[in-house]
Amino acid sequence: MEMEKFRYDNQIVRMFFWATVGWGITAFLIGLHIALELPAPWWNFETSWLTFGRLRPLHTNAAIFAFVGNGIFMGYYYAAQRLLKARNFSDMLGRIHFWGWQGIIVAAALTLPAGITTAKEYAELEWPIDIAIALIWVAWGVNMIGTIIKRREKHMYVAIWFFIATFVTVAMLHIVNSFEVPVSMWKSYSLYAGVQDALVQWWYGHNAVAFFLTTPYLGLMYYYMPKAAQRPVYSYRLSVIHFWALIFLYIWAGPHHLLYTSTPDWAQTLGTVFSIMLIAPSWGGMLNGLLTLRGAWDRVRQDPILKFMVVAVSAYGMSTFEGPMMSLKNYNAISHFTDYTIAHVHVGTLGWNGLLTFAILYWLAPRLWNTKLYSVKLANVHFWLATLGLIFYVIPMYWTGITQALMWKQFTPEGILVYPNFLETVLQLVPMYWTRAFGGTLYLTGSLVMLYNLIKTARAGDPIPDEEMEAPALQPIESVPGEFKHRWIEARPVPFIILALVAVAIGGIVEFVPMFVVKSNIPTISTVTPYSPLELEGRDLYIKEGCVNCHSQMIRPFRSETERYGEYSKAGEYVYDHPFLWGSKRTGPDLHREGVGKLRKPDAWHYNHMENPRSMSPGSIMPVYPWLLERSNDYAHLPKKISVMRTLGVPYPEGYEDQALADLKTQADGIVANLKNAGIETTWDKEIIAMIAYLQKLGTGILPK
Amino acid sequence: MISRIYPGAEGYAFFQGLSLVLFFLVFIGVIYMILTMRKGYIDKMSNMPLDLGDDQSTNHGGHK
Repeated sequence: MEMEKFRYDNQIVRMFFWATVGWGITAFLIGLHIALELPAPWWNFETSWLTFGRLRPLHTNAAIFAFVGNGIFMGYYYAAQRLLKARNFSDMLGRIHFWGWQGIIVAAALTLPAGITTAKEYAELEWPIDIAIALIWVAWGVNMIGTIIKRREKHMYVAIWFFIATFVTVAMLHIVNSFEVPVSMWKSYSLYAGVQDALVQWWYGHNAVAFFLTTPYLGLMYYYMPKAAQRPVYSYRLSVIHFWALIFLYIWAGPHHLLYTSTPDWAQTLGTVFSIMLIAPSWGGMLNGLLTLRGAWDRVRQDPILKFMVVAVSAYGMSTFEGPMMSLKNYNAISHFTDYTIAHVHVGTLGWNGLLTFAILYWLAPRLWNTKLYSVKLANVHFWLATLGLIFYVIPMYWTGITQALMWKQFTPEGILVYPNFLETVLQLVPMYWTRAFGGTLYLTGSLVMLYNLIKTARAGDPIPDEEMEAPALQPIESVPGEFKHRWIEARPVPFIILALVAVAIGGIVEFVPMFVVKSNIPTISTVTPYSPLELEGRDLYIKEGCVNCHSQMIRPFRSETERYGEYSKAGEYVYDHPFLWGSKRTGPDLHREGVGKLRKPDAWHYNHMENPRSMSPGSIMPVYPWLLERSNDYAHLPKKISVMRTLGVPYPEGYEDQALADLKTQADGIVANLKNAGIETTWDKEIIAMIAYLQKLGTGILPK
Repeated sequence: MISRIYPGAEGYAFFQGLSLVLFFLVFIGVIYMILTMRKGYIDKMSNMPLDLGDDQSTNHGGHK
């Protein structure tokens, strides 16, 4: 059999290697910064772009897309070339992929602190960056499929299937969730509104976890764990079931983020049912990973790489058991909107993704620089710092979450809320927030130790740019009559990709079609009116400042919530909300009835509260927003905003663009007069005026002011 | 029956019923395929990451 000589491209692996390390440390640093802002609200130094609301999306985007994203590509480019016995399809596409991805991360780092955001979790980047993400993602996909087609290995190993599923599914999720209509270069409105927007967003958001944080890392696990343990994968049969069951089931589970919300009950139930079913493939994969270490457990004691891997896969098992439990309605009633969810996601990200990434970095470094790891002792130190950091992070957050939920729900024997002031429940959490920050410091310190170790390793060795290999050319793949076995698919990438796409598309189609087609899912409410121009501008400021990161706008139908906030939220109240702003965490109270009933406050209260929250709520941990009082709002885009909203179905009359600014000024003048009566002098164009107008609008759709 | 499992799904229970049927068909199909896999093929695929012989030599024993 004729042998072909070829070279592996190690340079692209090294590029993603350093990007993973650098962005990982950046993500942890931002995480630590915002963790400190909760117990110490002065930590933003009264700087708008350092507030929790603006930096929280930067932290999540940095952790997911910068750290884990580069980790995926690093692991993929090393493993795929070897599993397929082929150099990457195109070196040029690889470089475009690398520099394009780093450019996107830099764009995120510049725009998110500036308040340029769509407010949709993990999809906050505005439309020009969304387009760039799609193009760069396709560049990776073309390079991957091209490499698969020119491979010399007939059958695709399980790791490659997971990379394929990652590519096709993330492309689908990103495109569908990013449909938005631009207002300007850095502002757009979601195509979807309210409940529909929420369903699409959490179909995306949940599956960003599934197909960005899970499937590619399972691909990495199936390659690097056998490598590190020097043992074949425990069960190839199990990996086949694991793959197809996981990708089919995962896509359905998004609505479990919307339990007890205004989303139709049938969608919530679907999310719960499929989340529970997910335990089986998730744990199948976890056990397949852990049992790959059979016969190698003695080495786990000495080898830090295996230690990282064992804890990573254990964290995967814990979070994939906990996730379905949190999808049960009675469990979710306690965990949702609290720090419990924060603990859960950090078991996944710091534990599963972080520790597996560190293991791969330590495994790759000696091979990429043809030397030994500089210090095994330091790698062990890193392991313990990371593991202890994880523990010190998540335990206080679980404690905090349960404390929050119990305090929110506690009634006296007479049926009155024991803690009617939300602030009482917040102040209980401050010690745990400090402990969480200590855990984050340990985790960050560990990654700095790793950086030192990896730099010393790289300096001690010589980089191998191109590794020479030889393998026989791929023989023509012939069908055996009557054969329809899995190995048939494993040798045929195009049918494999199509089948994977069908498997992941079914869930979304079945959930979206009824939601968009059947009108009874979102009963309209005649008293709900579109936002006035000033309220619309105030809503955009609410989005810009990231208020949604700490305040929900979704009152669940629990007595503890209706007692605290008022009437529970209805689907029909959100029909003009492009995007929806339900939030996923209550660091502060829900605001959906802020403008009505007992929660409505004078305009001057909001003015003073934004200037210094502690002047109105002593002890509050909310940041100050003095710039809202000082900055004049730019209303140049108002006519376009009205026009875009009408395009999206909001019933502004034709030609209202010409009238909008005058109406805005009239409403603003009213608020300025109210403030003047309270002794506050300001002008109609200040940002605070629009913010007050928006906050006073909340809840008025179905209730009188 | 489906509408009892999925409360409020009147009129479009068909979609959800279909999806469950599809899932179990796919699941049963995959089970059938893996049960009929040849052991030689399974061994070959399981060992694929280890058979490459390209990166086994570098130890990570460490300088320190």
